[in-house]
Amino acid sequence: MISVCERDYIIGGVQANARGDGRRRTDARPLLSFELGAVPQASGSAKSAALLVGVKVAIAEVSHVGAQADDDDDVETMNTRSKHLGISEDSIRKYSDFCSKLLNSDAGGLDLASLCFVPNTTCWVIHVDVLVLAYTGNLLDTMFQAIRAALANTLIPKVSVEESGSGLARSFEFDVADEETEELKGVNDIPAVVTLYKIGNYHVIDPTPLEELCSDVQLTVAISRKGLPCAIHKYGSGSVDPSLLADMIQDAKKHGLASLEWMDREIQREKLRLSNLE
Amino acid sequence: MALDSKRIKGPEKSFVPLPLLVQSTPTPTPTSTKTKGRIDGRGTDEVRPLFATTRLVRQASGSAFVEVGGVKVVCAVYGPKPVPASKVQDHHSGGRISCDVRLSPFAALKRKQFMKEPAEHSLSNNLHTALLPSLLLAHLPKSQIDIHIQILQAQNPTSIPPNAFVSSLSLLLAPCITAASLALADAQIEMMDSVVGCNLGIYRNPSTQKLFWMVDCTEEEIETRSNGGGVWVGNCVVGVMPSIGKVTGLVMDGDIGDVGFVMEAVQVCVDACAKIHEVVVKKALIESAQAKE
Repeated sequence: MISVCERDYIIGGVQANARGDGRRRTDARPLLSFELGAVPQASGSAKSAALLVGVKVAIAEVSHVGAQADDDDDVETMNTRSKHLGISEDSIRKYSDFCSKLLNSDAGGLDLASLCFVPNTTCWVIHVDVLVLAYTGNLLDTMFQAIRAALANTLIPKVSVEESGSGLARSFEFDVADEETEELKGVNDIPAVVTLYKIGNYHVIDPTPLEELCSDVQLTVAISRKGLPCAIHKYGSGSVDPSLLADMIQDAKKHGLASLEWMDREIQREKLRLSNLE
Repeated sequence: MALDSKRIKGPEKSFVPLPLLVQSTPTPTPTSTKTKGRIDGRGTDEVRPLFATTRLVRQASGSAFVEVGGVKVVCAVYGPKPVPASKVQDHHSGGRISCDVRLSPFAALKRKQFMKEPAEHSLSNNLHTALLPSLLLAHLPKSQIDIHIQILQAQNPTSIPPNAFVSSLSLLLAPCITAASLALADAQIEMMDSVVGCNLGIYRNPSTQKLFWMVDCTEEEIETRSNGGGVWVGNCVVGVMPSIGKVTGLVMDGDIGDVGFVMEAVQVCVDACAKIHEVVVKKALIESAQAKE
């Protein structure tokens, strides 16, 4: 809930390119740093001040014949305090939907084919669960960053597959190693997600919860490492002029690349820390 | 997933009957991909013939039926009806809409289980986003409009069976948007403008690596993943209010190129929607108004 005066104040501020916390329209807050491997029983995890992400991998059978996508990222935001935090069920479903769709698509970066070890029947399924500890606005972007970090930390057991017979009698036996693990392939190519919030006639990035309430259009853009958008979804109750879209995507690109660069450094630093611990 | 125990479940797995498979396997036509044209001989910016009518469901406040290619969609709108006082969360904001998109179990070659799939949820959500900007909900406080969509047929019976049932869902969104908006108009609900949906496939030329687009792709063009000498890399669904020229819904996925290409694709969809609106939707609206007199 937001009062009319507060709304007017924020919209006027955005128009004047001055936001409540002193930022300009396209300034982001300093990004939160992550701690990798915080949950020992998970296959991979990342923790920041606002989020906790756990990744579990499991073996599953693919039932439909001729399937290509063999990974089913089940992103669920379990939110025990969601009422208190002011996040609606709807937006949580929306975010889960977007994340799993993006990670399962060709543009998602992950090498899904490598997760399938018996062709067309058996594969690894990666389950990602996000727990929101504090809500500071711009949840989808920070959530996806944390998921990205957790996937970079994920190790899956090595599987050896033996093939016997041929033709129709062809059968596979596989053995999951106890100790040996390998990293997920293609984690580096997972895009960054930037959401632009249109407030009045302008758009901002990284809004606070109050600013979010004033925005009628949200444009979520995934930016690949090459700086190209690879998914664009519009949310919110307003409509947008096609000419404004170009500006929004251009800003998303700038911010997305910066965020990817920062993530690289962060993951590198954490990996170094973890290897020093061993 | 929990199943409804009162319903006969039907088999867990289903298979495409052999005769259909045999008939459809030779369809990926290497000849048509060599020539520059599309599989069905349309131009790149040409939309398929579209049939739209209203007043199909008599009990509903408004209803519409849209058929394009193999996709058949029925939409019924109920309301605006009052929301019980106990369920009104805040008294300041206007009314609300609820969208429910269901795929019939018999909509495609493979049978779908009765329970709602995640894909249907995302279809409902995207439809909700695309319709909201067109409605003047501030004029309808404490009331609700229910929009129910049943997809009778999701693909052409003669086309290639898709890998998964859900793969062609992006194709279903555009007709759903058009049908829902038409039904809302038929229910005489105040709107800024009717919303028209259009999809666009993005293809990459394997030799030059250049991207190009095709408006209103058929499921065949996406399933074979090749068209007009290109490889399918992404798709885009746009909902537009044609008279105002504003974009209400936008879903783009896949390798969609740089900003310039994205804007070009959106603009092409906006133009295609204006065409559909001018030729088909307006006519259906006039017919609906005349029938009411």
